Amino acid sequence: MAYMGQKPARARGWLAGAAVVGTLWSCVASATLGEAETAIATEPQLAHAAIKETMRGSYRVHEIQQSSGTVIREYAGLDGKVFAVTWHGPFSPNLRQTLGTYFDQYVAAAPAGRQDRNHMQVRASNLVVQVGGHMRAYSGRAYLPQALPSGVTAGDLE
Amino acid sequence: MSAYFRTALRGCFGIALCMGMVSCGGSGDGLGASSSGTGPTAPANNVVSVTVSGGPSNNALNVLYTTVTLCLPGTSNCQTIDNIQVDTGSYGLRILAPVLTLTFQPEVLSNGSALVECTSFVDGYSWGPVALADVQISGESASSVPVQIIGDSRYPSVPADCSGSAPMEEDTVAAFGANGIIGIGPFSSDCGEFCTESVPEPAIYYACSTESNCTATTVPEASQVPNPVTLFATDNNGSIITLPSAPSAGTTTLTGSLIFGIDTQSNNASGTETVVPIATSGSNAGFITTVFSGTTYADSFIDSGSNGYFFTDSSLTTCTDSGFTDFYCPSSTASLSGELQLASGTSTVDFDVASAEQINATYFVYPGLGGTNPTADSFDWGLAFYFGRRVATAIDGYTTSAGSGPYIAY
Repeated sequence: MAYMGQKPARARGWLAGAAVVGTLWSCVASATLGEAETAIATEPQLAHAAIKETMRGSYRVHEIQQSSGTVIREYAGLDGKVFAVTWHGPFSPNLRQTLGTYFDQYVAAAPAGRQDRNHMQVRASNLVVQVGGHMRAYSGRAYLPQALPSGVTAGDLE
Repeated sequence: MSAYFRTALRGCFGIALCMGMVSCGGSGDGLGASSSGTGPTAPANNVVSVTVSGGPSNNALNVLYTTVTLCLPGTSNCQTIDNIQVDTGSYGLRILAPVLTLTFQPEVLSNGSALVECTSFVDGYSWGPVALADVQISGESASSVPVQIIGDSRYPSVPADCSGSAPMEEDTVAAFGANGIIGIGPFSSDCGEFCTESVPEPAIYYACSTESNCTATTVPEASQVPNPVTLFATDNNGSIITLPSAPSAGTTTLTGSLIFGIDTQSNNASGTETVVPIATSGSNAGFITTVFSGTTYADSFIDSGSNGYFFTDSSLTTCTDSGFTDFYCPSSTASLSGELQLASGTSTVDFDVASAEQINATYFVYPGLGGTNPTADSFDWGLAFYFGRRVATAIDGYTTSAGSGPYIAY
């Protein structure tokens, strides 16, 4: 089992990068929905993961390659606020951290009793969280529909 | 407890009863290859009965259960536990602490701390120590197996990282929907090499110096919770689940067999089945590929632990009943098909999706259960895929006559 899987780079260029070393304890202090985008230059913890930044017209994407093999993408508008986070890989991110102030809403809205361990979906006017997968292979995304930049759709969040 | 025992009687409680059901039950799925008609055939020692039933709370839908026996290591002090979910989508044996009558001791790490685990499924998290137990299932046995004890009162404090990994706490039988789970998917352990050197975030394994002082830790592979099949003496390269077909309207229960090993005995020979390889590297590691309705889903999986087909089909109506949020409720049964990517070419799989709201309330089996898939690249072939099939799961790093694991074959 390889943990270093990486999607083919979709980015147009590298603006920043760092070596993959050590554990990932703190690097996921990045990518929190609704909060300020990752400040690559000022967060030393991010040396634990490889990050690249891509400009896509009305938003920026920070792709954080964790040493575990999980790739987290943070989408930030020109105002610097994160409006979406996606992830893909052998480990799910810490959703309390990833969803930030929206985590409690996600927990409260999560439908119980479906006897379905492997998919979870919450769709509210202000928050969408969609998670799927099984042990050692997960993917998901969370976004703020009302904060999507003009012209950006959920389908753009990879 | 009343539900527990009611289900036990209908299902399979105790090894002797299980073996009797398999050898006399008539379907003989797991034993067909060994019956010669020339005299009594000893039951294979690698077959255990599995049943799709209502489970411990009598409310499950398309959930497969079996029975396992745990013993205090090196003793004959054993407990047989029914309503253990059979899951080819996870790895490791996990038991809910309230059903245990024996006291299993947590593994102790080199620094003297106890090993405690946070298991995350997409819908919920489960917290509890990793203890050593001798495991018996059918005639198979393994000694000193790391087993997670979920919801153990000796470790009552769930770390914030763990409770932040998924929305619901699943540390009771009712919340978990089973007395335990046996993860027999196509890999050998729930983390593997990565956790020997690094700690994922959120962590899986914790070292607890007291009942509530727990810090994330690396763990030697031998101490991690393993796919128990890999510890059996010879039938250790995978397993096979056979289930009969279910009527389209559903039924109360469905009983079949779980056979350990592939090509290790006369009852688990690979034939000319279709082999679906599982990716072991790249961004789609752990997944298979499905093509459905012209779209390629590279994060697909075949999983006895999913209770329906979960896929994207905008032409299907979703249910309005709040108990079936995001399940499909077509006005008439939809006959569909998907293509599974093989090493060379594809294999067509036909399946039906019927209205989830039309399920008879007394039924626990419904082959047409389907729902939306929240992840854009995924098609999840759940337990209904196993109905009417003989589905083999070969484990990564092991070989069979059909090839090298990890793969699913049917």
